[in-house]
Amino acid sequence: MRTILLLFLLSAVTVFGKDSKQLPKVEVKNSFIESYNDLHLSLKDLNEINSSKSEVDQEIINAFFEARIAFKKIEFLLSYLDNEFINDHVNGAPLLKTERKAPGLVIISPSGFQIAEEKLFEGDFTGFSELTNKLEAKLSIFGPKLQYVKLGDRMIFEAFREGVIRIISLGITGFDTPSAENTVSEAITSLNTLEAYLHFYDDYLSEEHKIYFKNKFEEGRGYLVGVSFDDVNRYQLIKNVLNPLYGDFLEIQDSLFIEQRDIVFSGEFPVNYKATSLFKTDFLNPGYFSRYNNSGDAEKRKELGKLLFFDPILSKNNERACASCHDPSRAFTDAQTTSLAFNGEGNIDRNSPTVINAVFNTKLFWDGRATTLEEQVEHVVHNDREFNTDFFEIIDKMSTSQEYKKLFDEAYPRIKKINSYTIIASLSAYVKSLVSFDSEFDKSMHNESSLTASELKRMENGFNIFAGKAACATCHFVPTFGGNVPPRYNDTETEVLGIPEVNDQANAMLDGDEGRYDNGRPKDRANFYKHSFKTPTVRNIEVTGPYMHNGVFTTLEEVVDYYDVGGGHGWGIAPENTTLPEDSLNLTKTEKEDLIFFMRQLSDFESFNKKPETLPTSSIAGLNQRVIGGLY
Amino acid sequence: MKRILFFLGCIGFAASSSAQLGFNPHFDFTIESDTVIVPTSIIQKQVLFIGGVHEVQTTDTYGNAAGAFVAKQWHDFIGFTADDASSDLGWISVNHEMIVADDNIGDGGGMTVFKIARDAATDTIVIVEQTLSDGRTGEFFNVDFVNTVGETGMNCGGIQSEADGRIWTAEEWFRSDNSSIADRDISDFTIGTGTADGQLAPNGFPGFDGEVIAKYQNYNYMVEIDPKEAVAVRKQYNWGRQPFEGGVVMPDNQTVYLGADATPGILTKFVATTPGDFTVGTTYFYAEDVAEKWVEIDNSSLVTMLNYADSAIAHGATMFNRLEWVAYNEADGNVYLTETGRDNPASRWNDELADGGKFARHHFARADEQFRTGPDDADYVDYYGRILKLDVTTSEISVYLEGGPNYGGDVHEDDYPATHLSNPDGLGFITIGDVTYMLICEDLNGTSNGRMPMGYSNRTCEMFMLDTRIQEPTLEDLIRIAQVPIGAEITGVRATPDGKTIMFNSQHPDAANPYPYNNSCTIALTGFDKGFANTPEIEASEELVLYPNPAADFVYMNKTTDVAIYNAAGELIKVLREVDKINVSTLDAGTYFIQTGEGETKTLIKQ
Repeated sequence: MRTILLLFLLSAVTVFGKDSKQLPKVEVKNSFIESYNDLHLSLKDLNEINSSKSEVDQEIINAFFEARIAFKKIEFLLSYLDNEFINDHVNGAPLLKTERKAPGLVIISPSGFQIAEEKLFEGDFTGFSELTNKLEAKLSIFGPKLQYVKLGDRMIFEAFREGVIRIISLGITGFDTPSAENTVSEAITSLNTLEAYLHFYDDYLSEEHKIYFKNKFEEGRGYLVGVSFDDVNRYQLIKNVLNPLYGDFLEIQDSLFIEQRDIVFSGEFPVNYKATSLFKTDFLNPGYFSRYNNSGDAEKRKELGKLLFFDPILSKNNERACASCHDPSRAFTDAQTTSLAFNGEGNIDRNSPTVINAVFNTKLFWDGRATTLEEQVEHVVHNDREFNTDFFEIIDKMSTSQEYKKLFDEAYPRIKKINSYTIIASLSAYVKSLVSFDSEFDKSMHNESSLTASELKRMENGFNIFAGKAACATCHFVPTFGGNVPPRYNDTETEVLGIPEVNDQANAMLDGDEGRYDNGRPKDRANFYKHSFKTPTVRNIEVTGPYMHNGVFTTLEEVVDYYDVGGGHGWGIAPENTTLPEDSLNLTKTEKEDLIFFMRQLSDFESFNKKPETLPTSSIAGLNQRVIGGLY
Repeated sequence: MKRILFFLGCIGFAASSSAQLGFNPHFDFTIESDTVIVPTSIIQKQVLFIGGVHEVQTTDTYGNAAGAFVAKQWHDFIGFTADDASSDLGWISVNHEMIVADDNIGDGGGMTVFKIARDAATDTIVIVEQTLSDGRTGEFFNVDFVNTVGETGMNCGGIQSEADGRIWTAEEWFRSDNSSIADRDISDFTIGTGTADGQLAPNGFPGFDGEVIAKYQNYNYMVEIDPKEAVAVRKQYNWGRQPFEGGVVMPDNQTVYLGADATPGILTKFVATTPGDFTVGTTYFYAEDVAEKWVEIDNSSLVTMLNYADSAIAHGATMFNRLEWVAYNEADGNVYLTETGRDNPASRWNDELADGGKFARHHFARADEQFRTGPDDADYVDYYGRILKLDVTTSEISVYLEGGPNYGGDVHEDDYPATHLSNPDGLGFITIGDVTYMLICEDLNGTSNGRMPMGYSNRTCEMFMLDTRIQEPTLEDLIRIAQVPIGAEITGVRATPDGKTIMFNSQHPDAANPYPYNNSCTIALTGFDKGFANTPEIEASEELVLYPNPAADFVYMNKTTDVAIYNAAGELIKVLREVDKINVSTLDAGTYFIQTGEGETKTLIKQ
């Protein structure tokens, strides 16, 4: 009864809106609320069907997918408006999580469409219908608030653009459709929805624009309609339609004098709104992720940081530099299974990851114990198996160099001091500059690749497998190809795979490293984070082996074979709460080869492969024996 | 390449047409506009104490020599202890709400104390260098918990005595086993002695000395500290082991009210037998359904105190949804509490309901409004929290101010989301002249459901003032006086007794904020005695009128509309949609042009 009253109220608003010619934003809001009510009704229908049944059947499956489609008809705007609510209750990942801001560690079970879909295909009717009832209840609580939303043109265009990122990185990869059955029709709906809502701006668009968009959306549908999940040419769809649309929406926004986000909010955001392509270096904004972003002279700070990165003065024995384990000729990795420890006394526990694009991670180290580059530096300095020192020692040594003093004075004209803050800020400024989306793959998205036609074709096949059949892109998200979560890229994921201790499938043993669970952060000490590790970027993977947190795999072929059999599941060592599905990927030999070929086209480290030519000299002779990049 | 050219052509076409939906990127200087002067703000802002940057003086800790080490972060409670013996203002105590292993400062969380004075010429705060009786000299001092009470952790809220400024720190985050404490010393703890591995607790506790407890059981107390000597005094075992947050010692120096940050959260009262001696007295929990409201709990039994909540629940304690701060209002003599809320509390307090706990009455009323069967309904939500009033004469608790926006409630649609209060946490009072204002710190349990404006917005918490003379206040009566850097929570609000300065912390700001605001900071705003005014009286008129309010750094308008701000060169620098005031705190001094959606213009000169 209450629900009916509510719907009546909302539709009254809608009818009023249709009487006269309204501004686009008013029409968008009316249409949106109408579609929200449709979604609510579709859940109601589904739950009515459920109430007359006791097990899953085709009618239920059909009704469920109808509700999903109803969701996709408003997802771009609804998720934009209240991303947190949608993740919490409507379309969040089907995984356990911890309650945010709770006093203590509280574990929350997933709810919403995705976990319901899992239950549906497991045949768990009771679990499924509980979840869909809960979803309907949540939608009915949330709905009445929408009439109060002050929806402006800026917000609508931001939602359009976020919607494009979502289709590219989450939609067509099958991220939020566990069964993959409905992925393609949902992607078509998402695309159609963007087109339908853009039509509310028709009065403001030129004829050329209207024709252009009509053709673009038509072309996009051409890649999807009547095509199965495995066969969608995601590469061409992104290259020819979706990625261009990302830029086109911004051009329209500017031409209509609709203000951009940066003029409304003073803070920084992870996605650089002015970027026009997902596959250019400026897509993400390092400033958002960096702790000491605004201090000192940016260029001098970076150059100073580069010196420090290669200077073993940062370690207790003056023999180890950052570059010892992060060698620029190997995209800042060291080719070791696990890196050599201080004084050559054994090895540290984990494999050295690339630092290119590392600034975009909100979890650093394999276990995610640091949240920024600056925090990360301190762990390395103090770790007795890494630099084994502290900032007092480092500052004392550096203060014996007139050259360093001068460089710090120049880089920090207000502070004029060598202290832990200026050292860390410099190092992070350098690492922050190591960002690049300029591989052959990225270039090919703008027709700037130097690959031959047949190489391009192989890369295209490989990408299509990566983002489709092999499901790699559901964790290694486009375009960082790491755990940076779209569409806002403000979080970095970790996953439980079941990594073996040694590369011996016949005698497989789970690696004992508990990863995120054991990282010292109270909120991460939940059982489902045992053996969970950061999803690293696949960019520059050609030169960053060995692979995995423990370097257990030497070649990409081994890595792909591991995933092909279902990772830890296939090896029989999957711990509880493994986040990989159990199925084999069933990749053919050619598919594997193309997949690896694609990954090899993600290299762009060469422009960073430079070392300083000299290190600043000290008044202490012994200190002048330092080797650029470290002795070992 | 072809496409780009084509598009440039189109933009040229579109830009020359009149069909635009926003403000022109360039100001039209042919329009005449009146000039409005915005005087410099009367409020001076100072950053007093920066976590991760300032160095604190430490004692010998775990065998490491005393020294100077970088202060911990995550500032929370602020306590103020007046210095009656000198012209200095007094001592400030700041909590660190964290758990980290730290060889030099001590594992867990902790506190930093420092002394402040007021510069006679400028009224600004200065930090006073001190030498403590243990020989430490400096500006900032680490409170020694390791050698006094056997460590501490997650120091969140606390108590400042209304009688004499004594300070207690609350160990909030509830520990349930040794694996969840950062401390590497997990040997058993003997009250009055310490641990076998060298943590000391010489002061002990009357009646409990010699009792042996697991190490984790030595957390989650109110812990008294001495802010003048930077040492802890004792853990208050007789107030129970609870996830404490706020508390208050009343002016009688005998009665204590204590809140617990949990769902269910229980309200506790302690009455000391002798004023000032809080080791002996009677402990009660709040039970709304019992005639006398307060039910005694046996504080002579350590077992009962260690399992405080279980015992109170079994005897019908009233259940709240995360009690945070507790503050005394000198204007009416009553106690106010923040109940910060939790989105879906049902799963958190239904077990306790079965064990005998009773929901606070206002939750039944709220559940009714939501058409839910009760606070135990899985779909009962508590997104915004509220402020409660405890009438100390009748012991009745009522809702003083409900958080919001409460869609369809008392906030006009046009004022949303400008008018909101999400998850109140810290609470305090300031008396300026003869008017007492409530100070409310916002925390955000989330950004959904209107706690932040929809779409992209950076998570920002605000602090509000509320004139306590207003009967039955609403959200409309809140005056926003501060906003912390992006990502930060605003914590620990504390006013100086002279009504000039309000201090607060910016806790866990985002990494991207400019220095020093990328670290936890203790911030002071000074000048509230110099003509602080509420929202100006605004006359209704068709024509745009601007009312600068330098105290709040806002320019109020007589209408709600879209506003564009252009700089002196005529470049568009800011667009605000449907607002009735302009925040000018981020504008540098200089000339600006304001244009509304209706095309009215003003020249704004910020001094």
